[in-house]
Amino acid sequence: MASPSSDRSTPGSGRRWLARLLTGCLLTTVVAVLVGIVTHTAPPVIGGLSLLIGTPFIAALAIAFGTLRSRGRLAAYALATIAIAALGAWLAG
Amino acid sequence: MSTQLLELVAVGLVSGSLGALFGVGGGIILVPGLIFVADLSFTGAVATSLVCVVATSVAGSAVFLRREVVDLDIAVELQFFTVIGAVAAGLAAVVIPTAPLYFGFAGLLLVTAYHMRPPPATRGPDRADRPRRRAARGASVGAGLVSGLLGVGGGVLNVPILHLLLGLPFERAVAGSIYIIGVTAGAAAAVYLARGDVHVSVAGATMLGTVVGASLTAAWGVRLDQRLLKLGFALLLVVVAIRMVGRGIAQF
Repeated sequence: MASPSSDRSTPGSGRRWLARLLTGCLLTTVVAVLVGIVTHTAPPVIGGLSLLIGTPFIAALAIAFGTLRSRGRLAAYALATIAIAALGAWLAG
Repeated sequence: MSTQLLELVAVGLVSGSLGALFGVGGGIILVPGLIFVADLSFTGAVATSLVCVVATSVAGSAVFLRREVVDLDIAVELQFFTVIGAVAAGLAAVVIPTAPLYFGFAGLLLVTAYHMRPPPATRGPDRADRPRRRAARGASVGAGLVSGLLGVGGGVLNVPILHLLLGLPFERAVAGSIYIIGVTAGAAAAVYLARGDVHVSVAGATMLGTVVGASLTAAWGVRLDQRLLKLGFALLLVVVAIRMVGRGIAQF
């Protein structure tokens, strides 16, 4: 774990790219859910909500691949987080 | 649009607005709102709330990442520990009786109401030494447990962990917390979704209200006395806590 002053995991452009990724996923979710509600069909709502729940993990995956070479420990934490969440969903299902 | 759908959008709107106004994930308002207004079960409210908390976190994280105030080194490490807690809580939720959860939620409401007072001029440590890091990891598992069981983001625990234990400046602690709660709530929501506890139409309508409410409040802000607003919000939380205790007693 780094001290606050040594935050160097992702350069500024990487963070902005990550922000755009999150915004894109959220907007897609909103549009899909709106379509589902207006047309009274479940699949767009289910798809939208699944995308929404998956969005933080898509971000974690992006961080993992973006930092794999330079910051292996960070990438390992991100991938392990995804693995634990997937295991939980599998056990529940 | 049916009346129930409008009710759900309204609950989402109010929670999204208040969440953005007071820097909380929204679950603290959503869960009681869905129970008392939309008449959902505790589990249904928790599952729906977790989905909406993800939406709030994703929207907030995008803003904080653009401003470059999210300390990803710390956030990515701690989210691993919060996810362990959230997944464990999500899996255990089916065997835990509802009544204690109502009491636990009431306690969380009172803690949040207490946090509405003006913040003391506290300063975290200059460096996060090894024991503090270990404590932060352990506390993060606890924050994840609270999130997965009660349907909240856990920001009320994450911010002190990041600020007081690890020494992040307050704004960076809030930004890091917003980022962490998305992954935490997402992991717990995936467990509830896989078990079939998420009512998709309910979650969809509430999520829309949450996103709209949070976006409008963030964009326009509120030109009211913050102290008065916080006092009113704290009183509202106390009243809701009392109602939650009442509902918990009724479960016996």
